[in-house]
Amino acid sequence: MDRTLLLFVEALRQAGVRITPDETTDALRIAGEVGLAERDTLREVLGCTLAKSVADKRRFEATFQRFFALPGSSADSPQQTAPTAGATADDAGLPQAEPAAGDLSQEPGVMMQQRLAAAAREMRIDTIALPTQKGLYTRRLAMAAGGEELEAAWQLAQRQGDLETAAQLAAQGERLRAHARAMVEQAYQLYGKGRMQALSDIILQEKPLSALETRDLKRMRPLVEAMAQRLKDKRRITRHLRRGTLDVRRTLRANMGHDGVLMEVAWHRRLQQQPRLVALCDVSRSVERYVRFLLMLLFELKSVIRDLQVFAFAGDVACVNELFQRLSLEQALDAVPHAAPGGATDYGQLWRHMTAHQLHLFNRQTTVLVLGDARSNDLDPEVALLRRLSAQVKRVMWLDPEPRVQWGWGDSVIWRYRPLLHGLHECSTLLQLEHAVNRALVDFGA
Amino acid sequence: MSVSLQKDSRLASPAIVAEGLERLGYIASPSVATSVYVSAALEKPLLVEGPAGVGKTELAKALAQYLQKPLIRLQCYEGLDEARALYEWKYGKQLLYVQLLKDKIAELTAGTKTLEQALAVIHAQDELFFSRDFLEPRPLLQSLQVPGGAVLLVDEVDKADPEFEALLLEVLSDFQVSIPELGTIVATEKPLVVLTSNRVREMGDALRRRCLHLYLNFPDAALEERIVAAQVPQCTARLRAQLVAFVHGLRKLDLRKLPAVSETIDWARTLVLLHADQLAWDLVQDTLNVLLKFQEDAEQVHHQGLRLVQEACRDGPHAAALR
Repeated sequence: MDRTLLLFVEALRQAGVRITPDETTDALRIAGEVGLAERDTLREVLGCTLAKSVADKRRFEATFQRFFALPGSSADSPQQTAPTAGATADDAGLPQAEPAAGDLSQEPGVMMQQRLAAAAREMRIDTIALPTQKGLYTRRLAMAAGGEELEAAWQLAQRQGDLETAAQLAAQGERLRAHARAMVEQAYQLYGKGRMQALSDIILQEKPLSALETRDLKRMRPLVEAMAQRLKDKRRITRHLRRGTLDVRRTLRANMGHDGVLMEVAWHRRLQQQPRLVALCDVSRSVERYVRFLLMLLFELKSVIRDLQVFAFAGDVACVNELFQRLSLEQALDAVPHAAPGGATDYGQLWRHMTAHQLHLFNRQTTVLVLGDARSNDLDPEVALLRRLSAQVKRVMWLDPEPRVQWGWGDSVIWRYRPLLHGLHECSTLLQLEHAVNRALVDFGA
Repeated sequence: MSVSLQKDSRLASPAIVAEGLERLGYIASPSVATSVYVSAALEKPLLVEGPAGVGKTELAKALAQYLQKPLIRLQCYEGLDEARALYEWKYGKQLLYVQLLKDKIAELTAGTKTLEQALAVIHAQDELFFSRDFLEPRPLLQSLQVPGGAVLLVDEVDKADPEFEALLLEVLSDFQVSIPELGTIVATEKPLVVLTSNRVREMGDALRRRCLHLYLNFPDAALEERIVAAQVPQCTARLRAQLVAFVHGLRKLDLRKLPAVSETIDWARTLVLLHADQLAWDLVQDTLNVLLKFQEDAEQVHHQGLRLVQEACRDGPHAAALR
């Protein structure tokens, strides 16, 4: 039974449920207590020990249904589950006893399933990793589950001219292969697909965002969500406690009325500073795609960055906070790029607008995050204005989506801004974006 | 593997738990009963998530009543810290004692010649002021010290700050509290812990890993009818079926706040008080404020309520009688 449950845990992990060894141990303990017989009870106990969020619960339900429908995955040897084998065997097509080798043509469907289950266990069907392996696995499974004997019997019948038996045996072989195919397909869905997904996720994270195709975009959303979760988890740890140490001076002062007898205690209070993030996003054509991902990330981080100010700029600047608060993510992503007045990107105008109209946002609690390629179309970059802003905020971080080698070429003024920045990071892939935003958020609230 | 994990016969199986809770008027669905059983068997806290008013807090109360153990409740809120959740030193008492014992301290140090000697004498005594007499246990610590065990309810844990979760970790995984001045206080008997969350904020991963997880959603109609029957026995079967059907109809609407089980029960009580034995639109209109807590919701239902009442009366098992 332990092996079955470990396989099930593996299938859950492949489906994206995070399970620690400790939780696996819990599941084994409690399953040992209730047994595998009662399918519903088993589902409930495993559900509360292994799936710890609403999203995980959904994945758990789907995987449970698929896993326990797969003959072989839940196939314990009959001795181990002797008292409970009946119900489980009914549900998942388990072998009740090892099938006797022999008259294959008489083999009923159940026996065939049992042979397949045993063969699948033997050949470790859960190691399947790629869709291209399905053919090979199917053939090996069918052969191991009696296909070889069937083929030999068929050849013998052919030689002897017994065409009726030969036809029967051929049909039998076809059924066996069909069952094997279905089993391999299910095993791939359970174990292989997750591995494949994990692999393509790694590739996607390191792929230049400019090279993404439309089909990739759909996969990016969960990746960005996972990224945001990691950033949130890190930020949790960097926050500080509210109450400080004993304030001796205030304690003494408070107790002067009691004739110096110390009866009331006063504490140092740490002021809760409200950290602010001002995100300035270049939404011109060349950077639009990158902005999309930064916005996605910021949207997910809304809950930890309480004071978030988002501006979009190209020819001029527009505040898009309201869009960000009011719309759903998809709507906001579509609306933000069109919010800023068009025209040639003008970084000078950005700084002029910020100093003229939004100066109140820039104080010691402010972290400024700029996403742009600093290509200012040969207009005045207003370095002096950025210097002024930079001096009065906590930090200015710049994310440049262009590869480093292109920085400073043509109309890029990034090197002129560089001395005024507290950080400058290349962010052409999702992974780089995560690192850059992570650095921007380090000490963000401290 | 087959070593029995169970200690308490009242928690020996999901069925026994469900039956025991039902006797007290708490109708537990199979998943609730199973989760409680697993939580007791593995001695792990149970994190219950779900919309407001589906009986998360009630579960802890019913459990305490069922097991005849005291219920210790920690209501979470923003700014909750260890001084209010775990323990606090009684600073006032300490300072007062120092003042009162001034003379005694003077006596003690009278024989000493140097400052070092006097300090050494006082040092030998300072353990006195950091002993259990000066310790104020708060709910988490209290729950570990109850002889015979307790049921600890950490209510609305999502309302507390993220750092509070870190505080809970030691208590929930090892059932102990480390106090620097005293050492580690280990539970005499492990309490049964229930944490509830309305998902105002997603809980941290570390806390989730240490808990078992139960998602409590709105019950289906049959279960809700049983709940109403248990809580409001005076309600007739026909009225019960109709009002539950009506509430289920409401939950399908796009309302700001969906009526929860607790509101169904309140509504049933109201209708019984008004001597109703079946649902009627004018009756619903008069009592709708028990079910709906926002004006815009009430307005929306005023437009569609008649249809819902008709459906509720048509589909119920007593439809034939009505016609």
